[in-house]
Amino acid sequence: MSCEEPTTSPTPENNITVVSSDGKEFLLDLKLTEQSETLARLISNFEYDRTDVKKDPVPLGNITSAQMQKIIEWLQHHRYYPKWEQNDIHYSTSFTFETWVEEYLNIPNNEMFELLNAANYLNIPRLFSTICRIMASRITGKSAEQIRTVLNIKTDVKNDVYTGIPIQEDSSSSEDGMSEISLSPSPPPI
Amino acid sequence: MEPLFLLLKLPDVVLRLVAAYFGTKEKIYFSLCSKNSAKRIQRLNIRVGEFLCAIGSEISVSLKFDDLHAISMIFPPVDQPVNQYPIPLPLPVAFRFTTAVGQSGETKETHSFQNMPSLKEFLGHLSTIFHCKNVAILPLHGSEQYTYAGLFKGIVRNMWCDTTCHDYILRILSLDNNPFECNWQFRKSVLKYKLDALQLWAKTLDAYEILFDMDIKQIDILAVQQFSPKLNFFIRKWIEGETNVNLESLVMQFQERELSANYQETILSGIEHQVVSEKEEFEPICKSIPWELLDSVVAMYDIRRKTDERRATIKFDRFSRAIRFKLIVWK
Repeated sequence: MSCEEPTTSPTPENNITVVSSDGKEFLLDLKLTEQSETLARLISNFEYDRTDVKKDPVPLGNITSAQMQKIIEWLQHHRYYPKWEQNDIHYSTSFTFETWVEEYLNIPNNEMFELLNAANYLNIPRLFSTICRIMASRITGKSAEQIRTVLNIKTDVKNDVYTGIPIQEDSSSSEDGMSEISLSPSPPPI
Repeated sequence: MEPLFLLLKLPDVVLRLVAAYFGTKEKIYFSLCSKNSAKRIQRLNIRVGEFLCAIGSEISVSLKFDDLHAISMIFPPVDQPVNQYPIPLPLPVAFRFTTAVGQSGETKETHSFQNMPSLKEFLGHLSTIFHCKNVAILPLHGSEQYTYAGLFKGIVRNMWCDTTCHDYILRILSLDNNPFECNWQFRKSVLKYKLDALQLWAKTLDAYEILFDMDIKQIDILAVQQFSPKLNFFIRKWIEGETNVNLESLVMQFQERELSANYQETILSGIEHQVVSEKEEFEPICKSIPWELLDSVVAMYDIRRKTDERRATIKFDRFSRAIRFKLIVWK
């Protein structure tokens, strides 16, 4: 889906300034912030959409300038898209991403992880949902053992029922996020 | 080396959405990774109406989801141990998936589920993560190698054996033309088994005859039957409290054109009954026929069992050129 983008000239009245965790300031069109529920609520609460209200810079302590740059790119692209509605939260083999999205998210795993956290923090549902779907698609075709290896999940049982060999228990720290995984493309089927 | 993606460090709400986007197969695989990952799939609140376990030379477990999506897992037989009786069910170590009808996505995959010691455990796991409480067993040719007791014990988690198990598993026996049809032992041992529902699709079995041999809560005789006065005899026996004391519902279907004009009189002959007109809602244990769909209600009669004054309604309704006889026993 694509939308034609009419040219508009930004005016100081319809901008706010956000500050990334590394101190870089970004001038953000209020129209763009509508895609972020966090920013939209903040603007509404402080009445920053009024021209007679002094707009202080909004600190975004969880988001780096690189992430902010990437997010603004997303917001600009979807500026004239209709409001996001979560219609289908199920897996679909026929689901495809538009070329722009595929290129936009063709980034290393660590950047994807940071971008997802930023999208979650700013509550940008379209971006958030798209990254989740792409992440899920990278699991597709993997067997239980492969997923377990890839996600570094250790089994819960104390002994392997087939061999009787003690197995390292799944520690809560592992499940709570200490494990690290590599979401590389699926290996060939067994 | 590609940088790592710290998936499990993501907030719960994110992980939940990622899990929701997994395919069904991946959801099952992910749930098998650990108890924690199983809980994440369970929390998605995906519901499966019924597991259909078709037992033949191989065991096929089909899961139908609420959104009509279906998958099958097929467990090929393992090398049978010598001199072991009853023959144990295959372990869920090797299976292949089939997904929606018409798709050629069948693959064979071999797995060693370290925490799944038996098929029963595996099905129990699936019933937990997919919130399914119904297991229907469909014996086919090839199932003769197992005993029925072995099948039920090997597939259904028994409530009465495990007081810590809160899940009530509904035991449904679905019978098509199967190798036990003419087997006396089958009728005596299987139909007396404590079952919740029987779905009888077999056309060659004498439905009237086997009715007396079982004590199953819900009996759905789904193959169209020849009308017989034996039905009258069965109802009279039920009124006397001499058969099917735990029966909650019985359904039979007849071709309307083959019925005589006085079929109702034949069925009710010698039975004390009362005509009723008020419709009462009845919820069967499992829906093997569209109970609520009907063209018209022909007649309804109330009867009472002599031993405990239990009330039952005999209902005749018309649906798609068939007359359905329903006996509903009220609690």
